[in-house]
Amino acid sequence: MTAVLTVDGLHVDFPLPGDVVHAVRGVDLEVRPGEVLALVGESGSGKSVTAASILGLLPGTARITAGSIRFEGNELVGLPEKRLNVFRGAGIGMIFQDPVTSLDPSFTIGSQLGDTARLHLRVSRDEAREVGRTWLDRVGITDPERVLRSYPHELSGGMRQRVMIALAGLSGPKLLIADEPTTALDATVQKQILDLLLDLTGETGTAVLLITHDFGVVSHTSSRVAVMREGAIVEVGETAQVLGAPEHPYTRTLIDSVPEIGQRHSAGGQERRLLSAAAHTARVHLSSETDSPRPSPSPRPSPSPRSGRSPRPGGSAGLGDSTGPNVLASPAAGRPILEISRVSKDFTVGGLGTGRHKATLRAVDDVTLSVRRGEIFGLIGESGSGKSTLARLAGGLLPRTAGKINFDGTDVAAAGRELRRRFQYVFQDATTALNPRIKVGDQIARPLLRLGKATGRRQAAELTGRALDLVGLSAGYADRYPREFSGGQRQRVSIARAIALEPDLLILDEPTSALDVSTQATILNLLLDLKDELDLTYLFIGHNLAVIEFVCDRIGVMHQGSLIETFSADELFAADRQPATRALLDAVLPIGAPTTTKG
Amino acid sequence: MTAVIAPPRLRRSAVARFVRNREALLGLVVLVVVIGISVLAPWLAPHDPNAGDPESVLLPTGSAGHLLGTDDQGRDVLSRLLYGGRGALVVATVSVAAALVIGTLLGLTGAFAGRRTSGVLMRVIDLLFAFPVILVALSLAAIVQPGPGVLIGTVVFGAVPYVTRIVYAEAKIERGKDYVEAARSLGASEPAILLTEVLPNLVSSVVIYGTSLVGINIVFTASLSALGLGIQPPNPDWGRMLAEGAKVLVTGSPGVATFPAVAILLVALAFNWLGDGLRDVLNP
Repeated sequence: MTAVLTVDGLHVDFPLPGDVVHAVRGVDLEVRPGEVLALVGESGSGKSVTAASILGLLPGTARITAGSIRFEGNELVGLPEKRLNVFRGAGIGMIFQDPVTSLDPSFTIGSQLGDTARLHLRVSRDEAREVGRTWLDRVGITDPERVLRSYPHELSGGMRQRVMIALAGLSGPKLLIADEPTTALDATVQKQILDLLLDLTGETGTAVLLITHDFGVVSHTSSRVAVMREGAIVEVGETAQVLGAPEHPYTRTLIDSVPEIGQRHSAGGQERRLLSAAAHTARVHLSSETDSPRPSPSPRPSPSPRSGRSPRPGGSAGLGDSTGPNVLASPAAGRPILEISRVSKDFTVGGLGTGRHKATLRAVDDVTLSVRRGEIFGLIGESGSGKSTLARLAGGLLPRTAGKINFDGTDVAAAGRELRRRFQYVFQDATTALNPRIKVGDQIARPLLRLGKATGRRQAAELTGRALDLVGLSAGYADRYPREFSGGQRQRVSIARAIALEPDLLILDEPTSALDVSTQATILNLLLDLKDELDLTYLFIGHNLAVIEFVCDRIGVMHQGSLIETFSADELFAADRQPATRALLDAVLPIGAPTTTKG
Repeated sequence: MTAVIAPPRLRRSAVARFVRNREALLGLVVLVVVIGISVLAPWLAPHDPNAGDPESVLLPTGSAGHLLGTDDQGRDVLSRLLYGGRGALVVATVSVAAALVIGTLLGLTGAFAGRRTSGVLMRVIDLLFAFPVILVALSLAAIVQPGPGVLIGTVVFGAVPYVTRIVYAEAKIERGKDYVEAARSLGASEPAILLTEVLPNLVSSVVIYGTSLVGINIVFTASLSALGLGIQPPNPDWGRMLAEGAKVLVTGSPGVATFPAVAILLVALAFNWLGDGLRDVLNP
C-alpha cells in the first residue's frame, strides 16, 4: 500500500539577521491512505512548521533547505504557487486551530462555501449553494439555512469549526491536515468535533494528519502517532503501542506529565506529583519573621507511580476515605477563609454609542460557597459559565451586583492594606499579567513596599530574591524584563509576585491553561509544593477536569452563572452528579483507555 | 500555528537595531550637524547676518566673499542660513515637548476616568480638532507681540489634541490588560497605576510620535514666520528668508529662497527618519 503523503528528510530554516533557526531538522513521515496519523509535540517542536511546509504555506522568509514532500507520488517541494494550487483543497485540505481567523469575516458562510464548491467541483451558483447546504447538514448543523446567511462572528466556536470542516471536506481531499483543530474549543465541544472529523474521513477514506499537543486527542483519534521534539521525530508507532509502552524517554515524560482523570495528588494518603523534566522542591522560608511551625512535607515518590493505573473509582468513594496519615488530606477541619454568599454580578452590554440595545447580562447568579483554610477548592465550568468572573469578584477585582464576599470575616470590597495582602490573584496568561516594561524584580518588590511587607528597598529586594528562589528561579533574574522569560518561567514570576506577600489565599485563574503539558506539570507540582511549604489555601479555577481533579480537594461546578453543585474530589464519580458535571466528565479524553473508533 | 507565526526572535542591542536602520542614522547625523551649526553660528558665519550692504545686493551664488550670494538687502545668505535654524528648532522642540506632556496627561485621564468625565474631555478635544490653528496664531499675535511666544502657543494648541487622541487610544488598550488588574489586586492606587504601570508602556509611542511632530512643526513654524507671525525681522529665520526670497525667486536670484527651503525640508525629514529609527529601538 503506497502512502498518500511521504515526507523525507525535511529541513526548514528560519533565517534571522545574523542567525538561522532550524525549525525542522530531518523529519521523515508517512501518511497511509485512510489512516489518522497524529503528530504530537510541544510548542516550538516544529510540528506546525512541518504541516505548513506540506501545503507551501511557510511564512515569509522560512525556507525548505533539504528533503522532499511527495503527495501521491508528486513532488511538492519546489513547485511554483500555481502548480501547488492544483493540490491545495482538491488534494489536500487544511483545518486550522482558530476558525475565527481562518474564516473570512466579511463574507457569509454561504458565499465562502459556495466559492469553494464552484472552484473545486465546477458547479453552477445554485448547485454550489445546494452543495453548501448538504455539507452543513453533514457536519451536524441543524439549521443550515440560517448558517448559510450568517457571518463567521455570528457563530459559536464549535459551529465555526464545523463550517471549517465542511469547507475542507467538500472538495473531497485525499488528505486532511488538521492543525490543533480543537485547541481553541471547550472540552465538551472538542469531543463532538473530533468524532465528526473521524466519521467524515472514515466515510470517504480520507487520510488525516492531525497536529496536536494533547495526548487525550491522540488516544481518541489516531491509529498511529509521531512524537516531535526540537524539529525532529523521536518516536513513531501504533498509538496503543506508543502510549502504552513508549520507547523514547521524552515520550514517557510527555505522557506522564498529563494528569489523568481518577488520579488525585493526595490519593491513598500519599502525596504524589506529576512526572516532569525538572522537578523543583521549595525549601526556603519566605521571611524569618513568619517561622511558624509548618506541616513538614510528606515524602513524595517522584516520578509518580503512573505505570499501575488504577481503574476509575466507582461512586463508593466517600468522605470517610480521606483520613490517611497525610495531614492535608483532611481539609474539612479548616474553618472558612473565604465566604461567598448569594453573590450575583450583572454586566451591562450595549447602550449609547455601541449601536445595540442596552441589556443586562447576568454572569454570576446567586452563588454561595465557602473555601476552607488549607484546602484547594476547584471551580470548573465551560467558557462563559461565570467561573472567572466569580474569581475576580472573590479577589475584589470587580464590584459585585449583589451578595456578600468575606475574607476571614471582612468584606473584600472594604479590604485595607493588611487584608489586601492576604489574598492574592494569579492570572491565566502571565504574558499580559506582567507589565512588559518593568523589570520583574520591581514588579515583585513594589507591592511589598506598597502593602507594608517590606520597610525599605533593601528588604524588598531580599524578599524578592527569596520569592524567586521559592518558585525555582535564580534571584539574579530580578533584573530582567518579562520578555526574556519563557511562558512557564513567566508564570513562575507571576506566582512569585503573589507569594512574596505571604498571602493566606491564592486565587488561581486557569494558571496553566496557556502552557505546554510538561510546563503545566512543573507549575502544578510547584503549586502543590508551595501550598505545603507556605500553608496556603487555593481557589483554583480551571476548565480541564483532569487537572482540577488532580489538584483539588473539593470541586464546585459552574454552569450558566450558577454554582450547580459542590463535592469532594473523591466523589467526582458518584452516581448523583448533575448533568453538567457529567458532560464535563464525558468530555475528558483519557490517554490510557483505547477507543474503538480506530481503524 | 504559533510556532510558524513567531519564530524565536534574536535579540540585538538597541544601538545595533538603530544603526541597522540607515535612514534613522542619516536623520540623526543631519540633526547633529544642524544643531551643531546653529549653536556655533556666531563663530561659523562669515558676516553679520543682519548687516545689509547696499553695494552688493542680490549677488549670485558663488560670489567672492558671499558663497551663497546675498539677498535684496545685500545680506549674506550663508550667514543668515547658519543663524536661521535657531528659532525654529528651539520653538518646535520646546512646544512639542510641552504638547506631549499636556496631551499625555489629558489622554491618560480620558482613558482612566469615569464615563462622564472621559466623554466630556474627549468631546472638547474633538472640538479643538475642528478649530483652525491659523486663527489661533492670528488672535495670539493680536494680543501679544508676534514672536516666539506666538509660535509656541500656536504649536502647543495645535498639537495637544493629536497627542491626547493617541495616548487615549493606547491607554484604553493598556487599561484592558491583565497587568493593570494585577496591579490593582496588589494594592496600587489609580494614580500609581497610571504613572508607574501604564505610562512606561506608552513612552515609546509618545516619543516616536513626538519626534515626527517636531518635523511637521518645523515646517509649520516656518510658514507662520513667513506670514509675519513668528520670528520678527531683521532676525534671520528660514521661514522669513523663504518669504522674502520668494519675491526675487523668478527675477534671477533663486538661491535666496531655495537654500532655506532645502534646510527646512532636510530638518523635517531628519526628524521623521529619527522617529522611524526610534520605533525600531523602542518596539523591538
